[in-house]
Amino acid sequence: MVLLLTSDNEMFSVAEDVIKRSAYIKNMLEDVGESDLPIPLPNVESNVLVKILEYCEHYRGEPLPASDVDPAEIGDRSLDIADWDQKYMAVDQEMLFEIILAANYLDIKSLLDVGCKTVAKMMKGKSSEEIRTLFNIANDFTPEEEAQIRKENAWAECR
Amino acid sequence: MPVRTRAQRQRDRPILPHEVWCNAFEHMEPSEVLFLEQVSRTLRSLVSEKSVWKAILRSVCSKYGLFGPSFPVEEMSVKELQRAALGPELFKALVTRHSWPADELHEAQILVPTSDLTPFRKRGFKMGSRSVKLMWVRHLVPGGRFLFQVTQAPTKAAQDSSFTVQLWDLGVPGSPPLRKPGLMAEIKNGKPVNLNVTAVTAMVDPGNDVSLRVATYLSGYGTGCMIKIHAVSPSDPIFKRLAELHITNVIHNLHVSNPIVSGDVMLIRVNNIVVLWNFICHSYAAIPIAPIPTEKYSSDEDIVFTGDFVMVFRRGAQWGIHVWEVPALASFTRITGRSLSIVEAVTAVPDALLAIPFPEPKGRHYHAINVPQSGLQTLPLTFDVFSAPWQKRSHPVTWVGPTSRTITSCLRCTIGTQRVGTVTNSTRRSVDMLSVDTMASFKIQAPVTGASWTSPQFAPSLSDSSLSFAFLKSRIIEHKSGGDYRVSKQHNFAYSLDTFTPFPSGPSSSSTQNTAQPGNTANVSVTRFYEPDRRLQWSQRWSACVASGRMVDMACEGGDVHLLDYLY
Repeated sequence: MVLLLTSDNEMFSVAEDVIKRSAYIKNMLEDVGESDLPIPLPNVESNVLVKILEYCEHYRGEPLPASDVDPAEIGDRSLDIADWDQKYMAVDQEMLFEIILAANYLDIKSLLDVGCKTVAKMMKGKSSEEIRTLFNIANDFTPEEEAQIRKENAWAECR
Repeated sequence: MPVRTRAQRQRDRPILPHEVWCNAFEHMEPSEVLFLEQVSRTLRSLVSEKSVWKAILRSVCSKYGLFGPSFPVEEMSVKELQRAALGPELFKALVTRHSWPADELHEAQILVPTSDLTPFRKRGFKMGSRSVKLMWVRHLVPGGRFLFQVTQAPTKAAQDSSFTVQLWDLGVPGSPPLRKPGLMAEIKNGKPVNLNVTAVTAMVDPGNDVSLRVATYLSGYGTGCMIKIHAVSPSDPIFKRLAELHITNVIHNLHVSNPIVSGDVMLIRVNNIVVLWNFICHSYAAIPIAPIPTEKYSSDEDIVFTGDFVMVFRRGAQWGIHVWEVPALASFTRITGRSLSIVEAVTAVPDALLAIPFPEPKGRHYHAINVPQSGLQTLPLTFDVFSAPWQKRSHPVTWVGPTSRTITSCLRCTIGTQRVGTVTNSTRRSVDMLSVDTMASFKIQAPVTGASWTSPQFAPSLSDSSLSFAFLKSRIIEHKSGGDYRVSKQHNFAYSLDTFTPFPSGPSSSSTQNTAQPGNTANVSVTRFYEPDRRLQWSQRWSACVASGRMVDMACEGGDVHLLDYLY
């Protein structure tokens, strides 16, 4: 068992083969070896870690991606997301971002990819105003600037 | 340890770090990424970063199988990178804007290229000198920048003819083509009597993506043919000999297909055998195929080689698409010496038959299989089969809308596989089963007929699940109403299928040859491309890179090339 300490000071005890999906923790365990001390995760809150562990638990037993594979080789540019992953990602947008950040921090490549695909899918076909609303981004352009950018990119109007 | 609170993070939105955004960009179309510039300053500065566009262009290259060194990314500006990365989408959009219902094609607006470097007179676009006889053989390397072509030295005595394979630089796609293309490298071939170079094909070296492999097919080699494989890279532009193979006992040249290279393997059909030659290990596998019914013509069928599969469109008793899985390298037979007598080549490999859900058309038809370049690496593989009637030259069939006798059929097929296990360290997929997942049939009531010298040819296309593109060249005879005015022209086409209706189950009706059935018919539109005045020349040999919107055409005379760029 591995002990994890979240940013809000909650302690989790997790089976090693579950959490090894995180390359960050896997490497740490290999470097440090057996230890009773908890691994601090200052960037992950407990409610997010619960969600992350749900993912790792689901894929428990599946082979870990080989680290020596060139990502471009296996890179899957399609937006197909497995059914289970889709349901898993059906969370509010704030949690989605938290999951992506945690997956990035914990270095869980497959989860990060699913998260990024979900984000890419959310942006598909959206207007810039819709994207702003979606991601809670303020429009910091002046109308003149906006017009200018639109003019600059007029050549790429292929939608 | 400083910990950011959720409230702090919320203020910083977008809180996703750069690398996460860049990962998301990989899953978006380049035009969608460019569009994000309009969202906020933070995103604008991220999206204007050169590294972002270098990564996007790289993934576009891998998606469409484009040759990386076509784009000197270090020297390119962000704008140039963006233009190059958006090439496939821009070309699709251009074709879609100019698409027309197939039965009203005579009214279609003709799509004119942005750059038309015609060899005639004033424009002065020349490659080589007038005294050089240009063979009508050329190959535009995927990416649209590099061109292989074959010339023949000026000669007084026929036996003194020597052939030269050349590599030319046409300029970086995403910018207008160079007015004076640069000759990068050339290599002379031997000079046996009656030697003829009839095909050149090139392919990116999979183990070293800055290098190209070029296969030159030489006929007239005694009773056989010779295939030479060279490696050449733009950064070190010297042709380096990789391998050569002399295939003997070729019954008739018409039975030899053009070579297709994929990875370390070259495919060529000789007589009634498909030879797969691994030119690195110098070993081969042979797939015997039954003789085609029309003995003289090989254009009735089409061969596709994806690296993992060989597909042959057959007629007659074998009506259908025969699919072979490429045997494992271990079962290839070693070739001793430099020549292979194909009489020995009899190892049978079982095939799977994809049945075609309509009866074989009467009379000769041309068939061509259109496999999207982007589909070569991914399964399931979806492809279109195009079938156009062959017309005798002396009896041109006219087209007058839906009552025309000229019906061109198009099939949408999918090869599905069940994969066993997951992707392992090896990049090769483990394919367990080959199956037909979906099949559909639709007919194009198009004024597209193959004339006696033009079979439909496809360029590697840009396709996705709902839209297919291919350059299709064919000759049409136009009859204006009134009857006495006739125009015979050759045209370039692209077709797009923008809906997809699965073929209904149950027996296929045989009476549908002359009527389009609405339920079965996909929404087919055709785009008509500008065709320059070619005098008496016709263009049988051409080569295109649709992802860059470029196409090269046969020369008219001398060492000229005709380059069309539809984007810049």
